[in-house]
Amino acid sequence: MALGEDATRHEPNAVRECSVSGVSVPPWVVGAALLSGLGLVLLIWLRSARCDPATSWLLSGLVLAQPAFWDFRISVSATLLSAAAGGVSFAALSFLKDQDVRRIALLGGSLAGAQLVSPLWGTVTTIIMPLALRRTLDDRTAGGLTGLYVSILFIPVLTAIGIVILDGQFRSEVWGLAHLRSTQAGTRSIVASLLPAAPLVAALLVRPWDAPARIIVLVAVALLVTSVALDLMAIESNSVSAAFAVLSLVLVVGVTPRLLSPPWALLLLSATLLASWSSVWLVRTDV
Amino acid sequence: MFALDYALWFDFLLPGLDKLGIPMPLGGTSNHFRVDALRAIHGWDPFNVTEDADLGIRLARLGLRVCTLDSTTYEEATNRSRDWLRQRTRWLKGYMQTWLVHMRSPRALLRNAGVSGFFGFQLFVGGTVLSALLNPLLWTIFILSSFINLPMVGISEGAHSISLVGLLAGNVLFAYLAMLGPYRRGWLDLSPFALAIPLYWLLISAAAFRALWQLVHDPWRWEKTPHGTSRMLSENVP
Repeated sequence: MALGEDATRHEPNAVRECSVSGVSVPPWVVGAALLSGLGLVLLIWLRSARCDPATSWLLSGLVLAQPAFWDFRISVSATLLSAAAGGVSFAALSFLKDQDVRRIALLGGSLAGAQLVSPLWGTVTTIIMPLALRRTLDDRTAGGLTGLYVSILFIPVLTAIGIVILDGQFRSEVWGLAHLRSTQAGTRSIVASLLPAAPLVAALLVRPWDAPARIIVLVAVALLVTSVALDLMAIESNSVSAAFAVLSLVLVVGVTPRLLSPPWALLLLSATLLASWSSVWLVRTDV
Repeated sequence: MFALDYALWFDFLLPGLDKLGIPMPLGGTSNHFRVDALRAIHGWDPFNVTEDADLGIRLARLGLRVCTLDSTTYEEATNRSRDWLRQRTRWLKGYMQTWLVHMRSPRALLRNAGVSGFFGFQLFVGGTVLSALLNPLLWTIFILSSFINLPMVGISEGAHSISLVGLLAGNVLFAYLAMLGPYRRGWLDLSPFALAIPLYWLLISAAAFRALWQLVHDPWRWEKTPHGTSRMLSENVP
């Protein structure tokens, strides 16, 4: 029931094409179209957050230069995953500002959408999101907090139940996770998987993170953990590459409410981009 | 559940109808009228047990606007199931009467209320009754189809899917709206009770069938809701 391709289930030699009414559309065309759309959305988003044009173009470029977006076999799923992660981050940050009905529905809907795009990551994010929000809602009574969580989680939980019932692939992924055994013994592969996280970890150590930052970090950590875990099952690193493409977009979302200053964001995204391409090189030379 | 029901109706649905300009079936707790408007529509219908709902529709048909005000009148909820059933029976019977009266001439209703008003009336008055009456039927089809082969008893296989979709969509939507309903009042601690909406809706269905029975056999019976019972009960508690 996953929307589009699932980047975490990838066959390296398969060439997928998108067919509409029997006409085959080359994957690079679909990938290029989606990439252009994503770039446009990023630009508009950043400009509407009063980011100057040069920084907006630079930040958008750094996100789009991620290796996952240029591998057209997985760019469709990477774009969808980016949109889902960006949506969840935006909805969560918006919810932190004010807990009104629209924002509650938006957050619940974005978590449900995340599960449709990537069931495992979406489910993990749904589980940890209340924890990320917990500290900011300390002033509420226990009853009020329960009501808030029930309202946020109602639609995502129903979506998860539907996916479990309807999606056989998701069930096999969860089963595989429960009996996780690494099929890639190489240290190089593990380093390649985790290398792009290094800039983010360094940034975490350097500056303190407030509630909005915790949201961004938790969304990113959920993505990384599920991607690495699924990679260990799937013997492919491409999903991790996709995860870092998404992470870059999520970091950009963090720029818009002035969570990250533009120079910080530029530095972090540049470092993540360099690490991602290094990761791809490491994997390729390991094969 | 009553608080959730009212919060949804008065804090979301009625303001929504106001904003969309759809005829509003009034509730009788607090209404304020211009006397000349009341006289123009010849007052309340004495044969309708929800005369206020009917009044709202007739005002709209005359081209008069009904709005919601940003004020609250608190009302005592029935705290006995017997009283709740009687009250809900009367409301649903009144909705049936209102629908039947205004649909005697559908073209006139369409002309007076406009397209959005006409379809809004079908949805909020007719739809309320129809959904309550259909709900047990959908549950019955769904439960039966889970255990027996429907075509063998003359029901198509698609009935299972239709009943499932209807139940899921209806109950999920109703529960979710009821969950969000109390937010404006800050009554977040009531939201989890919205998970019991499927059961509450079955109770509403029971009232609907009771209403249908009364519509045929005793249409003008008015089962007055007793008020002050909460105070009486709390006074009697040692």
